[in-house]
Amino acid sequence: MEGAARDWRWSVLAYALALALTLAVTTVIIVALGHDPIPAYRTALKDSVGTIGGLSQTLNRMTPLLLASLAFALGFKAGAFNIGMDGQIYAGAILATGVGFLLADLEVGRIVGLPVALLAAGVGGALWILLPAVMRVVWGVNEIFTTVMLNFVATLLVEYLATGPWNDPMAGEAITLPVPRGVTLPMLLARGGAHSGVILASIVALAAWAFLYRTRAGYELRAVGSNPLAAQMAGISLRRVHLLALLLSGAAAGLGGGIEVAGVHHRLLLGLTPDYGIMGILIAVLAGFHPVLLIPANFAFAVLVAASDSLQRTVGFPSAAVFMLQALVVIIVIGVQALQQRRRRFVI
Amino acid sequence: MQAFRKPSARLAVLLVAALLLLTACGGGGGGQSSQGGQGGQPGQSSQGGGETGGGGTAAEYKFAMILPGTVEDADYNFVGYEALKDIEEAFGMTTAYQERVAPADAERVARGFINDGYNIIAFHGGQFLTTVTKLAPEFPDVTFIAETAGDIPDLPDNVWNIGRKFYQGFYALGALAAHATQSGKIGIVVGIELPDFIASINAIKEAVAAEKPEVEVVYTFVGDQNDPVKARQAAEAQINSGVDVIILVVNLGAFGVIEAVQGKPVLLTTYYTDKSNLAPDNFASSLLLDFGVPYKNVVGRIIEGQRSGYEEMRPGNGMSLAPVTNVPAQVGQRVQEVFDQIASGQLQLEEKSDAVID
Repeated sequence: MEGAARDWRWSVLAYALALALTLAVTTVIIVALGHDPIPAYRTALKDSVGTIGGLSQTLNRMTPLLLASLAFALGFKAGAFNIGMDGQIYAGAILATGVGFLLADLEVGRIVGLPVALLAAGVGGALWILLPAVMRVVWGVNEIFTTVMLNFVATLLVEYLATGPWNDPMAGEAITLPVPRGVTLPMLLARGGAHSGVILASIVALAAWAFLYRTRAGYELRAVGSNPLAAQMAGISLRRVHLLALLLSGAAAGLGGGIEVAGVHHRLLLGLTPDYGIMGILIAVLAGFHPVLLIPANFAFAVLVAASDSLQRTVGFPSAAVFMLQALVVIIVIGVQALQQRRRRFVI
Repeated sequence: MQAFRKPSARLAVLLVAALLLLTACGGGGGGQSSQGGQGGQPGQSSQGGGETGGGGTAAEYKFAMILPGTVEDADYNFVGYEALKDIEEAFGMTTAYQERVAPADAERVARGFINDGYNIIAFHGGQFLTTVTKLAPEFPDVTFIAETAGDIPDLPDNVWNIGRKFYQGFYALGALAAHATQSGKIGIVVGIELPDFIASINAIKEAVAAEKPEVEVVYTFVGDQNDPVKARQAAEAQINSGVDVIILVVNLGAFGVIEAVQGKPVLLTTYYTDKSNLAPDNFASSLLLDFGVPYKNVVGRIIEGQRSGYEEMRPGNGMSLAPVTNVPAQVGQRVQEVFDQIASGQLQLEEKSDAVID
């Protein structure tokens, strides 16, 4: 009990230190640019959560990040490293778009079209990770390499579709024709432009928690991730668990891609995922890979992104510095946790 | 969380974080200034549209531009930034921009500008079209400017559409290459297979067929507008096959080709900006794109009260040729003639963008 309380305090310290240092660095940059940081922060808060428009866009940004981080967390819980979330997002987006075009001819309404498209997106993500998953469980091929390589393949496939058979010739870019209205998400906050995908993503995260902590299969998954040898000795099939974890991981990411098509762009395009995969990994680390904690962690991250954009507009905050701040937060949190681990070894 | 105690796991995450830091530290291209060529007649290619209210003054407007890349790229985004500065200078308007905006973030960024009081929002890239059509009905008091490959039908009444007709400018470069080649073989290095670029290749081939039909044209799609290595490899392959004039239809990929041709008897053309100072002995000309021309036309109309319309960016209206160099004077004269014929409408070109016609 005492150990748990100590751990809790260290976690709070880690996040508080990360926040303080990030604010300090940001303040220094703002002052160096010749601006008053207080009004800048006030505007940043307003633009990220203080208005319906700001909050809506934060929620839209949060949604794919939540699913990408959930995808990584699910694999990680079983001891697998899925680094191919961007590819799986694209795969999900491709299937959602393709299904949308198919359904356009059938003229189905949203009540049928949307679930089918989103289901297809999840299937797309799962199919995209299937090969790396099989290679891992059958031949022991490290999924880090296979999932990353498939990211490039997915990008090229999107490029082919968006510049070729599905291209919108009037756009002049690698972007497809729009999907029919029947596969678009209803709005959550129409005035601000927030789509309802954030609710779906949150439900999926909660469902993931229930699966991991309230089902036998979830228990086995966590057991394999914690101690594969002990799990194997207890009769748990490592192959089955790894395969399941990776497929669920891919499906979560694929769903993110489908939601981006159905909720934000209403098209497939290159650049649909601006490194959601990498961001998802960092957020999963920050949230301790816990599905429920991913929800507030992703919200906070989306606020950080929106606030950084606001600072770019108001004080000319360098766009490159935004990425540096995000990385700084993660490095500080991991550093403090590493310190905690090290300290534990000397405590009897 | 126990699994995360493994050194390999922590290392993986730290590597990812370090990657982010390095990405942030990576800079854009060097600063290159675009040479102002011949400007077009204001309003020459704009068609009126939507509602025309009473005229206002420039002081009532604030102009914001959303750019997909960094303004330091000396290429596409740089010329967008230049247009923004032109607007600021010409109208005395408050301007702002945000760079490196991914399509997923464009709506948020645009809403941020609108919240800050900006009432003309320009999107420098066709990938933002969905964002424009989504926001325009929601913000009827804001005027949006979209850039596309042509006249998009059924746009909202508060959207101006700038249609970029690259292929018309590339026709002139095709004429230049046809007359400049000594080996009788010219090459085109293109990034991705978009209708815009397919039309440009077809225009180049058409120009060659019209000016010097015996000249052979080869082309290569490298799959990336911004990969200098791929572009360089494609150029070197073409040079090895006998090509001595290369027309570049790539963006940052151009820098790889420029490195490849230095010291060789190969001529180059690029587009967007004039990069001839990087290889003065190798450049024949460039298709200069001055987005300030169509943007000033559009903003002027907005101030007069015209909230929507179509403005075509073409030779004579935002497109010009850099000085023709490293070729005989008569070649330069002929190329300028062809360019002027296109600009005046004397030479009508058909846009063929479905597939490259071999």
